[in-house]
Amino acid sequence: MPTGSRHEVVALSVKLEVLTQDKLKKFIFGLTKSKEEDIVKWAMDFAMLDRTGPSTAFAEVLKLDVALDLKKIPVEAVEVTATKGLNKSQVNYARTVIAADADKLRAGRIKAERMQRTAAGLINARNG
Amino acid sequence: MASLLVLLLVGLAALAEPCLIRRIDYRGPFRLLPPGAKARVEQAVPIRPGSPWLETGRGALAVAIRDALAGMGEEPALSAVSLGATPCDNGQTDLTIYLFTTRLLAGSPRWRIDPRLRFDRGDGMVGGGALQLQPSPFLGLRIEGAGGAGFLDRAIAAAGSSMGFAYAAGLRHRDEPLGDERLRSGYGYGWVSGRAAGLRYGLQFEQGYQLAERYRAAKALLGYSAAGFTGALGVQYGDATAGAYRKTVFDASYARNLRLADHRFVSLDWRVNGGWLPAAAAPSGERFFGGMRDRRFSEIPGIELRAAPRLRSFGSNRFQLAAAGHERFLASNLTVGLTAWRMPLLPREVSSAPDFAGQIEAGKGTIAATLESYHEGKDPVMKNIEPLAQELSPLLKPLLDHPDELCAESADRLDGALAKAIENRIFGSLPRTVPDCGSQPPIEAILAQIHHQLTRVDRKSIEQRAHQDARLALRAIDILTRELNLFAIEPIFVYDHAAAHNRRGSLSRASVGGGLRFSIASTLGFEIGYAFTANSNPGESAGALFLALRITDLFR
Repeated sequence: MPTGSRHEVVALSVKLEVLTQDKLKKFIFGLTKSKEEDIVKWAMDFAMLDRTGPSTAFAEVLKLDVALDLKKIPVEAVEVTATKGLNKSQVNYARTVIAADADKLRAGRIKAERMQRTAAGLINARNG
Repeated sequence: MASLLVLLLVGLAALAEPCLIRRIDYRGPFRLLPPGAKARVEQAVPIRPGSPWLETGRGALAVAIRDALAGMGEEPALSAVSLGATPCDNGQTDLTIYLFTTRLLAGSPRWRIDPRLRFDRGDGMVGGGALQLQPSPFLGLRIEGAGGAGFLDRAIAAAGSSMGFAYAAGLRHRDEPLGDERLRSGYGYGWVSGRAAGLRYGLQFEQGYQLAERYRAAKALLGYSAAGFTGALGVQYGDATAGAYRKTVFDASYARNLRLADHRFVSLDWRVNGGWLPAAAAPSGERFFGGMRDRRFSEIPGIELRAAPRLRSFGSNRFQLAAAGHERFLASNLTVGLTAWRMPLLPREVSSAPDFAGQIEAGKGTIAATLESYHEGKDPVMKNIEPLAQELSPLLKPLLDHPDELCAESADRLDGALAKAIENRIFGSLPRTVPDCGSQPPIEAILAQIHHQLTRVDRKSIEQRAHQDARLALRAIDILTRELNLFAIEPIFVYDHAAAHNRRGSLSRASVGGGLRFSIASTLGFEIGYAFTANSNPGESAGALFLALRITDLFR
């Protein structure tokens, strides 16, 4: 570990990979904290991979990256999401509505303000 | 596959003069990692001395370093990265990158070494190990050797796996003390094993000799393991010089870590095993001899099946009546440990970070929901919804150029979501993504039909499948964050009881003792202790020192 009082930890990340007993599925879980422009951000990534036999190559069947700064959304429902994580309705919303707009944002077809409006719908999606 | 990015904050890059990186210091157990590991990490870092140290992208940098060692093995692995920086001084900063990964404990998918070390009064000090070379999944080589003053065991085998089956063929020779005599045995063997419905099964054929007697045998095994519990049954049909014989053994165990506090727990191992050998025709080496050493029923890995009673206050093969072995036995072994000192594997910078525990809990909730979403997409009802979703897209096209911006944006949002929904078979969020364009009866009618179809989904089955997948992932996260210790020392308490019988009589003894266990990464344990025989007779072992290396399941 970095030692000495002069160093400040500005980012950290942990990753866990685990295989099922039959070696046919693999789960990858990651958690990352970073301090950028004096704002602390947490990001989570999760992926599931599977394969047909123990000696064949894995293929990714599910991947979710979530980077949330929930403190920026003044909604009481945020608290439940912050403590319990996303529920299935929110994951469905993220894997369809947000994923589609994120692709458009990357391609320059929509502006960041539209992306923010779409992403803000994630909190209300909890009750969907 | 769905890939998405949720961004609720879009920051602006700092406009101030950037601080330049003066020095990058890499720290971590790189010497213990496979060759080339440090080079892979350095390549993953896109910055060099002289590069600007930006206020943004630091999390992405930590992730890139963390992932640099991905794909180096298939064992359960934990990687942790910490980035430290000094305050900007005269426009410069020093960066420290610390990396820890359990890859260093995992060996390589192509080779593996399992060390062996143990001591007991019967065999003396025994050291050795096993080397497994696996250049291809289909065929590899395993060489084993363990020996000491009174014991020798050596084996060689070719092993591999294909089409869901594991297989091996090899030779083994063993020379061990048996009271005042020697028991020499050797055999050639071949086995095949597979899995079905949570069970593991195997067949082994062997032919060889035990002392001067020749024999051949077929062994059938069935095993089950889940959540710390293992159970196995084995039956052997043999043919020896004196005739045919049958041997049956069973073995059940339960292992659990009961958490007391942060990275401190009571470890519990309890095992019961027994065996029957009714025929007198069996070679003498097939009879049940008890003592300190484990005696495996077969060569098949993954099915834990002991073929002898274990009593830690007796030397190996010394728990017997008149050097004749036994025809049936029942034994129980209990080992309880308590974490007295430990160094958690997760770096303190990570575990003590504010909100870390809360973020882990939220992450677990998201994982469970994600797996539920994935399995919902596999429900047969989704096939009915797909054509409905495809009917929607043409109805949205006229709305995309609607003069009302709110209407056009919401229609475009639903149109994009449709493509993702069809790709991943996730339709649950569509009914609530109605375009904000006033009344649109055709669109609303289709969304209502989708909503109706969604009510027919088999929720119970989806939840069960998601729970089954999530169980391992969530348990692994708990182990990572709350249990896994890099080093730990535990006082241990042991209690064994065994009862055995042959035609000359019966023998029932109990062992009680204690000692210390030193463990690395909560999996490799070195145990040393002493066990007393609680009810020994004159001339029998009153107690024995035990010393052993043991590998325990991380996910017990």
